[in-house]
Amino acid sequence: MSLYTVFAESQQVPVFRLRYYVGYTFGRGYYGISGKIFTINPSVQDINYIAQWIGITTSYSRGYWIQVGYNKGFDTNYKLKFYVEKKDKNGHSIIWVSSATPSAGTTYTYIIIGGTFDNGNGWKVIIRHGVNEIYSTIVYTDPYTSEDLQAFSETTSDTICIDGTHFSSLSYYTGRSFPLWDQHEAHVDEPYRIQEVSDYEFIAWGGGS
Amino acid sequence: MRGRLILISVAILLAVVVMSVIIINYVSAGKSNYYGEEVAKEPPSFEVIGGVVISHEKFMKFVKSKGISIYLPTKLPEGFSLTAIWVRNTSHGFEFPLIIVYSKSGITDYRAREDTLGIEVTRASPAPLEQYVKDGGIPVYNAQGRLIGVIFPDAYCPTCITQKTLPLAIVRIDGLDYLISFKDPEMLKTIILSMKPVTAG
Repeated sequence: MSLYTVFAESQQVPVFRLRYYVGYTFGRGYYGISGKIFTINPSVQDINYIAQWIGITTSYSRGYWIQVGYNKGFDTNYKLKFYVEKKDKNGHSIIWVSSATPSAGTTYTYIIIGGTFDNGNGWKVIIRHGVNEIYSTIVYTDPYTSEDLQAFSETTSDTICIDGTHFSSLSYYTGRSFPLWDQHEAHVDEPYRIQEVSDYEFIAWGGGS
Repeated sequence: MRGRLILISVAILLAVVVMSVIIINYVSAGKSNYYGEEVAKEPPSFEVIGGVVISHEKFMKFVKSKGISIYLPTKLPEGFSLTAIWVRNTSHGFEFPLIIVYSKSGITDYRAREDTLGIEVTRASPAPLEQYVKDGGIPVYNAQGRLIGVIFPDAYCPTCITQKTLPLAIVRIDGLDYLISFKDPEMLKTIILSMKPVTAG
């Protein structure tokens, strides 16, 4: 469990936010990541959310990153939604995908590919269902760096039950291909549990009232 | 003697007040009292995924084991000194990023903030430095006139304490990128131009 300090827009007082994580970090920076995530549809109440995502940390000291996944919570009117989100020197931005909706019980492939898209600092972000691309966009970040690859289930309350969580085929992008992860560091916050199936696959469960 | 007692009492009282504020905020968070602030997912923090403080000796061993040269400033803001060297501890040893923290009040926090000088060292990006110039970065040239980095004076700073922005420099030397955070862009340039390779001993 982690506490994050955020500053309220309406009040100049720090507010501490709880976060619970279950998942993997790869431990090396590469300019691309992909992974399959099974969509769960837990009950989420009050001002809480669950997000399951893959992402790239571009700077730990600055708190910069880019990620893609699905979310359910107060910020999506308690409906499942795909999103693409980043923090970089230009600020925080989030894209709520309106052209496609995650379906509970379905596995989607999420991909972030670095490269020389347009200006050289773009990431192509793709969501696929099977072989069908259901969404893609290009997101630019400054700095354009990669310090780590990550795949996490994130909740703001342990009352959210994450039974059924399944991440698989976690891969890194070499510039030409997507090899499966051959190393990982697992992280899990109580009361959640993780089963490390392999370097590139895990299942998780727990939580709920 | 009486004065000292009063001082101690005031210190204890202050500590109690500070702790109370922290506990009240903690409890508020537990009640999901977010006041409608900007909502963002957050990856786990550096210390959660293995970020640790290491000694100067271990730092030098890390540099040697990677076969790299690390460049650090030889000119620092007045009163600043090295307070912490962070590295990622993994099951297969220490890994990038390195985060080197300077402060004038003993602060060791790896997060960019207004009262420290932080230098994050990571493997160089494939993005050309010229791209950062196109994106509004102020170019920094070395004595030979070669572009070695850029400064973004108003870079978003989600880790800062009171400000929303903090200058950020991106410097590229010998295959490594240095993300340098400091409040004064002019001093930042001086810091960049004073960077020299670290040597053992």
